[in-house]
Amino acid sequence: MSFLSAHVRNAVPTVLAIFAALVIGGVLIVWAGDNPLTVYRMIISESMFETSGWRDTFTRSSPLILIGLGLGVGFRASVWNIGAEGQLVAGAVAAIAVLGVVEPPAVIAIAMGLVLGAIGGALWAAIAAVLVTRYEVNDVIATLLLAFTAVPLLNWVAREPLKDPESFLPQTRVIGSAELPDLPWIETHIGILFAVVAVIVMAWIMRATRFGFVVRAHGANRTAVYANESRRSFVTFGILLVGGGFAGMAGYVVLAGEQLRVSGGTATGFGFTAIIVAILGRNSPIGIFFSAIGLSALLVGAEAAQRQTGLPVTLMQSVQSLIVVCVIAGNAIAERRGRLTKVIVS
Amino acid sequence: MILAQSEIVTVAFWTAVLASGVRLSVSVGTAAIGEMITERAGVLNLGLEGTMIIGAFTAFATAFETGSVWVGLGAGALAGAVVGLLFALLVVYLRVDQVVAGLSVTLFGLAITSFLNTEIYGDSPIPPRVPTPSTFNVPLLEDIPLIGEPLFQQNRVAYFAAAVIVVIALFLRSSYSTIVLDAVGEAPESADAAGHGVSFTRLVATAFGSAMAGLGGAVLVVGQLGFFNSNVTAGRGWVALALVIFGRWKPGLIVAGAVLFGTLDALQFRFQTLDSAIPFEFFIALPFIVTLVALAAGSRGVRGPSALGTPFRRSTETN
Repeated sequence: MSFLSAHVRNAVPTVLAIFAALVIGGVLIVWAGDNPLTVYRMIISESMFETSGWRDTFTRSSPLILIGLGLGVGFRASVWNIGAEGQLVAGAVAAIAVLGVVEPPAVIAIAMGLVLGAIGGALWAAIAAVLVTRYEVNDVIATLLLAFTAVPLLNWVAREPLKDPESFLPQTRVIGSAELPDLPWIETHIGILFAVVAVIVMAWIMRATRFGFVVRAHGANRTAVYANESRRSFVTFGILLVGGGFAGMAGYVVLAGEQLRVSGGTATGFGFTAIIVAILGRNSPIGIFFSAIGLSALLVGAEAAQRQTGLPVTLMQSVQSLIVVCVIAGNAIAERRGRLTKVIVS
Repeated sequence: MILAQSEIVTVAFWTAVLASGVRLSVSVGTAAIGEMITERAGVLNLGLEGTMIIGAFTAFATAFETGSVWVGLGAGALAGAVVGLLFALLVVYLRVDQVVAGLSVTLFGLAITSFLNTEIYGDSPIPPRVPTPSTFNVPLLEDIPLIGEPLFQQNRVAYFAAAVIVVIALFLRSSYSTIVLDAVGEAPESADAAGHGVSFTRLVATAFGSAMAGLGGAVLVVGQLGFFNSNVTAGRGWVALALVIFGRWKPGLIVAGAVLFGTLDALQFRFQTLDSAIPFEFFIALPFIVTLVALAAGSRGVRGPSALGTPFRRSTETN
C-alpha cells in the first residue's frame, strides 16, 4: 500500500507540470483568438476517438519510439547524441540505395530494409563516434553538425545519384516490395509492431544484461567504473552506434511506411522530436513508449485543429517543449521539498 | 548568375567574400562571446539557438512596430536576458540537468517564434520587412585593398556589435570580476569559501550571455536581413557553441573563428552558383564540415572550465 502511494506521490509533480504547460498553451490559444477548451477537446477527440487519428498517432509514434530508445540509452549514459535526424536520413538513404534497385519478396525486403537502415544510421553515427572518442570533440556539437551536413547531402542524393529517371522531381524510385503492410485490425502499418518489439527487447536489455549495467554505470559515474580510458571510449563509441542504428531503422520505417520515396522531405524533424520523447520518458523504454504516443497524439490532434480552426500546429510544438521544461522543473522542486521534509523529520 | 572559375582568383572576388564573411560573422560572434562568459562561470547553455531566435523575433517585432532598429536591438537583448534568467533559474537554483534544459529551451524557442510569427505577421511567402540600417564607410580606411571593404564598409549595427565585443574583451582583460567569473567556473568550492556567491555569479553570467545571444539574433534580423521567418537563425546558435570550444574560451580566438566561419559561409553562397562538377549541396554543408574538422584538429587535450555543466552544491547544504 505504501509502495503504491509512493508511486502516486511521485507522479503528482509530473501530472501537475503537464497541466501547467497545457494551461500556458491555453493562454496562448486565447491570445490567438480561440477557445482553449474547444481546442483541447478537439485534440483529444481527433487523435484518440477517430480512426484516422488513431492511425496517424501510431504511424507517427513508431519512428519516435525507435529513435527515442536509441537516444534514451545514450542520455542515460550521458552520451548526448542529438543528431538523430541525420542518422535517420542516412538510414533511409541506405535502404533506398539497395531496395530501389532489387526487388526481393516482401518478408526478405522488409528484413533487409531494417538491417540496411540500421547500418546506414550507425555508419553516420560512427563519424560522430570517431570525432568524439578519438578527437575529443564535444558529443552534442559533433552529432548535431553532422545532422546539418546530412540534410544537404540528402537533397543531393535525391537529385543526382539515386534520382528516379522517370520523375521530374528530385526524388528516388519507390521502395517497392519493402513497403510496410498494414496491420489488419487497426489500419496502421506494422512499424508500430517493430516499435513495440524494440521496447520489450530494450527493456529486457537495460534491466538484465551486462550492456544495460554498463550503460547505467557509465552515466552514473564516468570516472569510477573504468580502470582505463580506452574502455570508456569503447563504450561511448558503442552507445553512439546503437543510437544511430535505431535512428536509421526509424528512417527505413518512415520511408517504407509513409513516404515510399526518399526526397528532400525525408528529413521531417522526427530526430529532434525524439529528444523530447526520450527526456520525457526518463530514458526508460516503457516511458519512451508512452511519451511518444502522448506527444504524437498531441500533434496529430493539433494538426486536425489547424485544419479546422487555422490555429498553427507550431503552438502545440511549443507546448511539447514547455511540458518538458515544466516536468523537469516540477520534479526538481519536488525533490528539493522531499529532501527538506526528510531533514525536518529526522 | 553563374560564377565562372576564372573569377575566383581575382582580388575583387576575395574582397567581396571577406566583406560578406565579416558581415555574416557578426551575429554568430556576438552570441559566441556571450556563451563564452556563461561557460566560464560553469554553465553550459545549449538553449543558445532558441535564445537567439527569440531575440531575433522580439527585435523584429519591436523594430516593425516602433520603426527603430536600435529599439529593436535593445528589445532583442532584453528578451535574451529574460530567457537566460529563466534558464538559470532551472539549472543554477533547481539544478536541473543543463543539457536537458538547454535542448528544451532551443526546441521551445524555435517553435514559439514560428507560432508567433504566423499569428502576428501571417505566413505569406513575402514576409513584412523592416528597413535595414545604412552602411557607414570610414573615410580613407575603406580604400585599403582587400581588408578596407570588409572592415570599414559595414552598416552601423555591425560596428555597434563589434564595439560591444571589443568592450567586453577589454573588460575581461583587466577586471576583478573576471577572476571571480573564472574562479566560479573552475573551482566553485574555493570561490564560495572566499565569499563569492557562486549561484549569483552564474545567474548573472547566464543572463548576460543570453542577452548577447538575443542581441546576436537581433543583429541578424534587424541589422542584416530586414525580415523574420521560421528557423531564421538556421543553426547559428549551435555554431556559436562550437566556436566557444574552437576559440578555447578566449575572446580573440572566438572572434577569429567567427570570421573564419562567416567567410566560409560567404564562399558557400557564391560557390553554389559555381560552374563546376562539384554539386552545390556540398557547399551548403561545407561550413559545418569545416567546423567539425577544425574542432577535430583543435579539441584534443583542450580543457574547458573545470566545473562546466556541473551544478554547485555546498557540502554543508542539505537541499
